Amino acid sequence: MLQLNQVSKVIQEKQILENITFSVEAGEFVTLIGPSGSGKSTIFSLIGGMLAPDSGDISLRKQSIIKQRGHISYMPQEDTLFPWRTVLQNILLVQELQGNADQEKAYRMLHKAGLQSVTHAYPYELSGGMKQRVSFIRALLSPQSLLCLDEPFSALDEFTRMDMQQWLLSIWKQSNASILFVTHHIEEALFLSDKIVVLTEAPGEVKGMLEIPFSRPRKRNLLLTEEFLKWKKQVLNMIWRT
Amino acid sequence: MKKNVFKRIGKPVAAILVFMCLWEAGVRFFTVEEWFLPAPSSIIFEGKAVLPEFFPHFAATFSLSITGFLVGSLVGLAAAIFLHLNRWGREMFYPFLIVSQNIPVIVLAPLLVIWLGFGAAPKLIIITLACFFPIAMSTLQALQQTNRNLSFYMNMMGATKRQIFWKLKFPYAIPSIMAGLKIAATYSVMAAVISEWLGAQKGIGVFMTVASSSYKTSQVFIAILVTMLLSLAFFGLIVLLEKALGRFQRTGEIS
Repeated sequence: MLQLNQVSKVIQEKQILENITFSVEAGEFVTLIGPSGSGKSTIFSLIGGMLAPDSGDISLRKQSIIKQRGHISYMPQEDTLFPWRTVLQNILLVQELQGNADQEKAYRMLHKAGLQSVTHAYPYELSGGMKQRVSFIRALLSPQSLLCLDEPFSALDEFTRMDMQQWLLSIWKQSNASILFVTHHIEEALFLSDKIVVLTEAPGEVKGMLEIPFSRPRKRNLLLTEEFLKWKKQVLNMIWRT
Repeated sequence: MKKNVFKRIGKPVAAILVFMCLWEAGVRFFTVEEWFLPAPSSIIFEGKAVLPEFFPHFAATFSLSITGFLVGSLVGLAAAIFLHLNRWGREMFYPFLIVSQNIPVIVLAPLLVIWLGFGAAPKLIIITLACFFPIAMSTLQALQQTNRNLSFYMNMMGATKRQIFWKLKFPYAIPSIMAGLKIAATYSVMAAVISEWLGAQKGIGVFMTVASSSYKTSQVFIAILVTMLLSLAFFGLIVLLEKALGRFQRTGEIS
């Protein structure tokens, strides 16, 4: 579905990304993991058409999307809910941009996500976790089938983060969306993903890829299993490997 | 709720009452001449007596202020939007906008009278100019300072320039536009009264000039008081509008 092929990028004379190659298949959950400065957010800017790569190609369903905006759905780590819009109006925003706001679908989605009680609330009335849930529903409700989630839970406390991970999986399971997820959190990456792409420090290169074999649906007690710890060690070894 | 209102306005009202009492007592005690400083009670009696004569002046200033305020606000808003959307225009005219803010609008009055005579036009232009700058400047600055995360998000989602403007930038600028409108609302009344000094048949400014030249100091005080109340009423209307648009006042809470 999404294919990055030998993508490199220099920003202000600094090599940010070098020969990045990976793919996200339809319905797949792929996580990019790497230290700060490995260019994870730059990859999103490139996929989202905000930047153009200096070399290499980015394609979505075999069509090049270089410098083309509006092909992906996006959820950043910062709160980007519009404070003057209600939850319902916020989640309809992307559909409005495409000229086909479907209120019924939005109501259904809010119901499925257990957010019906805050349908007409304004963002200031929501907790941090609730805001992120609404942002995710907004991303999921947009017509694009590739969701790019840029450290969406980084500002949340550990308890809320674990709740959110479980909730995200339950909602995602009901959609056909593909997810490209960025995190610093190894356990989060292992718990959520089908595939983990490990990046090096700047300039970001693909250090390795891991196909995660855990079956779905995944429950929280997976984190306590020997198998999970074995995979965590494997990811750490890949990160630490020079 | 009622207790809070009383708490908030009780002390200033008490201060005003004490001041009035001291003023009244001072005038009576020192037997100050009426033409020099009338007592508050004289001003109230004079106000009652002069009301039928004063009302047409009030109506003239009221309509002049409202018209000037509306024209100035609309022109200021349109100019800010134009300068925001047009980089070339902004680079060309923005420095003039800054410099022109330092010229008191009233010094243009003699020129406007020479060019346009003593009719409504020069007065309207003065009020329009007085209202134009606060709105144009606050709107332009707000449009230029839209939250970067929200702008980035809209761009990533493939929003067009028009969508970014109407769905993000303009709503985001509403608190600043309201702040500009509040300043313009008070300026409009002040500018209307001053512009009437240039020459008019009716208006609080005319009433004030006539009263002053015939040493009817009580009437001057009445004109000042009504001007102040009219400014406050305009300001209050904008505050009500701001409250009605309350959901737009939370832009500062975005991280």
